[in-house]
Amino acid sequence: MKSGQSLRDQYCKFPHFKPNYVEVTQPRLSNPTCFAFSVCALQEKMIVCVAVVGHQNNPLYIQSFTEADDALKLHHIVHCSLDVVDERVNNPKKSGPTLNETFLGLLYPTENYKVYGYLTNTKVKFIMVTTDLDVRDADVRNFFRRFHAAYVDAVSNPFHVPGKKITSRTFAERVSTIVKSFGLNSAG
Amino acid sequence: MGREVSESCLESLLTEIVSSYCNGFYANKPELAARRIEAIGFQVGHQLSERYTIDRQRFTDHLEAIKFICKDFWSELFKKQIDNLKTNHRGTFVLQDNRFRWLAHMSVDPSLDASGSIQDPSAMAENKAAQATGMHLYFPCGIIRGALSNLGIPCAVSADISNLPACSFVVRIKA
Repeated sequence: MKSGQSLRDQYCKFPHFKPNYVEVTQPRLSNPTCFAFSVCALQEKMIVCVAVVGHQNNPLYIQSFTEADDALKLHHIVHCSLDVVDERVNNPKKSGPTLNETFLGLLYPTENYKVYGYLTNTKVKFIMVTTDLDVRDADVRNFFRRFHAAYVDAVSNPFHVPGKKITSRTFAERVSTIVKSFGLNSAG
Repeated sequence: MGREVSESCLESLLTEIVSSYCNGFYANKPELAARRIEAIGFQVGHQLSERYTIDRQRFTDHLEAIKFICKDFWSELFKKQIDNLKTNHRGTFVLQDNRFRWLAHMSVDPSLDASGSIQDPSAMAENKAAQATGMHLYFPCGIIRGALSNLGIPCAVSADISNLPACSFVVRIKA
């Protein structure tokens, strides 16, 4: 987070500085501050949003991990990904052992984000949005496994009402730990 | 290392749940007591199924989910699998356990036996035994129903006692 912040400041100070590799996407971004933001997002390899969605597509938990005020955009991305999950499950392209795997893989890439999905046996969807554009599959699988375990512990709380939003603070803390450790693992 | 559960504690808890609901809260309404006990089981099954399917692929059909209940789920709960599974291929499954753990230590009250033996010994005793143990089976019925409904299979579960430690659960899947 801190390195990203300073990076952003740097770009704001030197608005004429344009790294070569972002030139491709530059025409879309007319506003210089917006441009700086997207660079910052590219630089920082991290999970920006995670969500748990119930079997009736009701949101159970959604949390973004960015400092910028883009929660709405991220929620929109998560919302769009639900259709992709449905499509994947109803007309599976893959066959064989991966057919009914809980891990759905990359749902769709956008220019700045990659969206991954996971569907449990109980038809609960986990969605993860990351800015890491060359993330390893194994890392994502590992992330979802830990995320699922945290979810199971949260819903096993006798005070949790099935189908209602997860309000447990312990769950939120645990998810944020998992999200942070994902950034560390993949950066190394 | 897996966590362990004291079997005797669990069994006395179950007995206590049944007796407090039947003789305490809903002494006059056995129907309501049964429903409440079943609801507790439902929640337990709902949560357990989430936990025990964590490393599994998604089930493609009902039979696969029922098999999961018979094998892995039952093993986690009772350290044994269901002994016999029958189906009519039209949505009804009969899961038979020849030595159901929660009934294994159960005996029928001898006074009930004695009163029964005056008129029709065998039938009467059986009837009383069924009544006494029947209440204890609402909880496991609820567990099965909770697990299956969390897996996306709405169903109704009832239990039959044949001869005491053995019992069978009848699962009727709602179309």
